[in-house]
Amino acid sequence: MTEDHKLKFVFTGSVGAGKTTAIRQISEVDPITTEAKPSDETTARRKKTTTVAMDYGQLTLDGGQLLYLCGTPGQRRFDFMCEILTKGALGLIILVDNSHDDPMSELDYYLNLNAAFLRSSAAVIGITHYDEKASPTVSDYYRVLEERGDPWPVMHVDARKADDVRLLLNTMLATLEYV
Amino acid sequence: MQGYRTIHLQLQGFSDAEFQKLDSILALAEARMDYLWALSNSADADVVLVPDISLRPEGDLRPCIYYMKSGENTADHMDQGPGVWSLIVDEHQVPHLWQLTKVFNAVAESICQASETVAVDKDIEDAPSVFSEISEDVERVVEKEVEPEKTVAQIASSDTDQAANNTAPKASDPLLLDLLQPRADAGTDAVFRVCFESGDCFSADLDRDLYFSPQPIETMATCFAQCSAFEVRAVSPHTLDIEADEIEGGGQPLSHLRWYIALMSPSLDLQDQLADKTVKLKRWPDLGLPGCTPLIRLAAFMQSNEASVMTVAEKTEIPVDKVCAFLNACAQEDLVILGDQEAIHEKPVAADFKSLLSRISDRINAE
Repeated sequence: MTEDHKLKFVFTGSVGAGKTTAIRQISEVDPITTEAKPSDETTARRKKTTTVAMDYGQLTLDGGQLLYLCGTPGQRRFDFMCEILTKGALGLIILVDNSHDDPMSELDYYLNLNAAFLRSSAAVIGITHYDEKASPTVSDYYRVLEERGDPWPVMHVDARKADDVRLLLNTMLATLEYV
Repeated sequence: MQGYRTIHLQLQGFSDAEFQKLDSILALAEARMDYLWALSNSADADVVLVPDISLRPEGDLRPCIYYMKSGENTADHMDQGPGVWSLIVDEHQVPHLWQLTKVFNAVAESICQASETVAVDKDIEDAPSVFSEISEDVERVVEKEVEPEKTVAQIASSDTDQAANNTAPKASDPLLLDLLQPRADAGTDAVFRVCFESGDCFSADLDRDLYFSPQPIETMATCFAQCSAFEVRAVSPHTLDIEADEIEGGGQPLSHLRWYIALMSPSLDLQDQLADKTVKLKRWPDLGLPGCTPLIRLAAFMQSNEASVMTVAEKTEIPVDKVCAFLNACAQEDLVILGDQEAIHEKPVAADFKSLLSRISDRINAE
């Protein structure tokens, strides 16, 4: 089976946005993570370890087919992994840490980084750490998307909750079917 | 409606579109008014309404209501003299219904007391301005039984010329929902606690636009769905802060609570209101809000298509009452666009891909 024929959803976003955590909530196996101590001070302040290549979780569909859940590294120097991982993916889940200094710019960045993929696929945007910082609001994010002309759904989620991760994926499925 | 005195209101300094807008608002507020109001162009009308106090006709001794913009210093409007009332409006020149009701009832009362020709035969169940009467004592507020034919809507369009065509109606607004609307002049009444007979309660802080609840708001779904009676109790900001420290997650945005109440409230009257209209969403709602998970497909369809309520229910296989409830909540967030013609854009999805999506859904949602 080639990379193109694997069923997968890709989780992306900045360091600490909750990608690894989200995958861990619903993967039926312990996700394979590739972590190391962060190389840059900024990341080190936020987390003790960070993903350096990708996270890898899975779900088995009826009939035995595997659905992969892939998480991209958060550090910018690994951005080249995004193009590799999104190749053939069903959709992209962008997680934005609302407690980041400039979360709107983060959203802009990941939408631009994956612009080529999103021309033919779909994205869903999850705002995490909303309980720590409720501003910008979801409405503020929609204003950014409107300016960009992007139709993706935005919602606040807690990556630690399986129900919220299911919400993201269910929304992705609805987007693929209707939008 | 025999026995009602009709108060005639002359508008001066308003355009035709603004005249029509206010006429619609008055029609919708009728259920809350103690008297009937009718707009008039005659100088013999009982009351005059002007967009600014400076436009009050000189030498006109009739009672006068004037628009005061939200955010203006109320102290600057204190000494306008007897027979003059201010009415707070937002940036679209739309008054809040609760304030309009309060002012108009006060004006009508003063007119009728002065003329001694009132014959009021209405069985009024007091829905007082609870904030002016709140004290440390418990004030009981009884929720009226929702009557489907009485509806409340808010003209939310930014294009005043299209306001009459783009009205996004909502189901009968429960008093509770009205209580939680932002108010510029709430003052010390901005913080309060709402307690249901079931024992469930939550606190609200209108200034900070937050609510505080020791349990998830979904546990109060029944209270909202049945428009249960509730009490409003005064709470000091200091007391609220102490209690909030013990609530996991602290305060949550009031908009989330308003959304959920609107979603849970009876809304079947919307189906009649929208019988010859189509609906579409301006954008997705925040699906992270309570009660949204079963409605994802509905949001996706309505974001991409313009369809009648019946068509939406048919295409999404979601019951009409759930569609109406969702519309009601979306209308609170000003997300609904009304139209006259259906425009369905069936996304070409291959049958096997659709089957795949269904299998993924089954797996994701399996326990």
